Amino acid sequence: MDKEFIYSDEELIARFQNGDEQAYVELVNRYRDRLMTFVYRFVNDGVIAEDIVQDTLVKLYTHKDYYRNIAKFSTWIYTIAGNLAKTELRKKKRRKVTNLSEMGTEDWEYQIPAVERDTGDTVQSQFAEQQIQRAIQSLPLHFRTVVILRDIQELSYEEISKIVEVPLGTVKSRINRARLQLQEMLKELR
Amino acid sequence: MNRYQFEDLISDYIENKLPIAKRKELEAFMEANPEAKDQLESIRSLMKSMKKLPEVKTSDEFTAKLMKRVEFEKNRPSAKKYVATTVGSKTYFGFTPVYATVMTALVVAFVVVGMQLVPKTNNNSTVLPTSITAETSTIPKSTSPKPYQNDDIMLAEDHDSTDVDGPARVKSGQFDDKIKLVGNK
Repeated sequence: MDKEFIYSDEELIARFQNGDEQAYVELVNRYRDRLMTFVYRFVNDGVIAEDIVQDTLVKLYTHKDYYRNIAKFSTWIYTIAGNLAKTELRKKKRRKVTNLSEMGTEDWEYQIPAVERDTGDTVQSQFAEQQIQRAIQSLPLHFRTVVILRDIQELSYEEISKIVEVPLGTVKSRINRARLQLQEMLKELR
Repeated sequence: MNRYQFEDLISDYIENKLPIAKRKELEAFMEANPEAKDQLESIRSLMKSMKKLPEVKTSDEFTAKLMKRVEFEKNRPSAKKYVATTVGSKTYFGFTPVYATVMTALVVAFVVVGMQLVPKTNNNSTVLPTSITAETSTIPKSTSPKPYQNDDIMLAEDHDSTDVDGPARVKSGQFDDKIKLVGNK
């Protein structure tokens, strides 16, 4: 596709705000898997993560006029998804149904992509992935959010600062602390 | 540099965000403390592993399910109302068009009511009581019988907005007659 015909996220949301529903579909296609990865790493449950991503994208539809072109679209949509994920975790905690430190095998089925399972490398990488996911779940929420956004989603510090609405210095400090904690937990793995 | 200071700077070192002097200081600390170097390498490796984590995909029916929900939201009465109130996201002095209209109507109503309450600035009607007395004495007595026995009812009738003869009566001196009636109460 010719580059000049590719719309930025901000152009797409502007078109959607002006009634172009196709722009909404394009935004959904761009963000559904990114948001799914973020939310899944956060809540550690495929079904709940998908529901949260659905809620986020429905909110994008119903609240499109709330977006103002002063922030990046990605920052706005991640903020919505993050807030919904946190709300879900709080509800879960209240219900005391799920112990976050426990992970059923069905959870892992969801996130493992379709790869060959018969090589030693694959098994090892899946094991490493499980260990990292488990360690991430052990982090406090404010560390978990920033480290996922930085090291998995690869967002900039500035974007993360806007998403979590804390100063840049605090974000940097939290990310550093989160990495130290993860490293401590995963020591035995290496 | 101590252990805590070193740990605070690990991420900045890995991401090349340290000034050269600080970087050298950190490297010197690692030279002297091999376990610190191991820790840093371990974090670097962890960061690489996290970047390599596979993307989690949504299910195949995700989009169909989403569009169904969107359709539902579109047809929901409250959603329609929401859409109707947010058509055109312009604001006027911080108010949405609907609120701006309501506020304008309230302000206009307030002004109109306020004007009704302010007494009319007619020179004849604002003269001192002594003038009123003087004027009343010049009013010729009406020979025709009063249409109403009760003066209060008559006054109320005079303020009736549907009374198209009002100005004519003022011109013919009946306005002063009204003042007399009030004064004689």
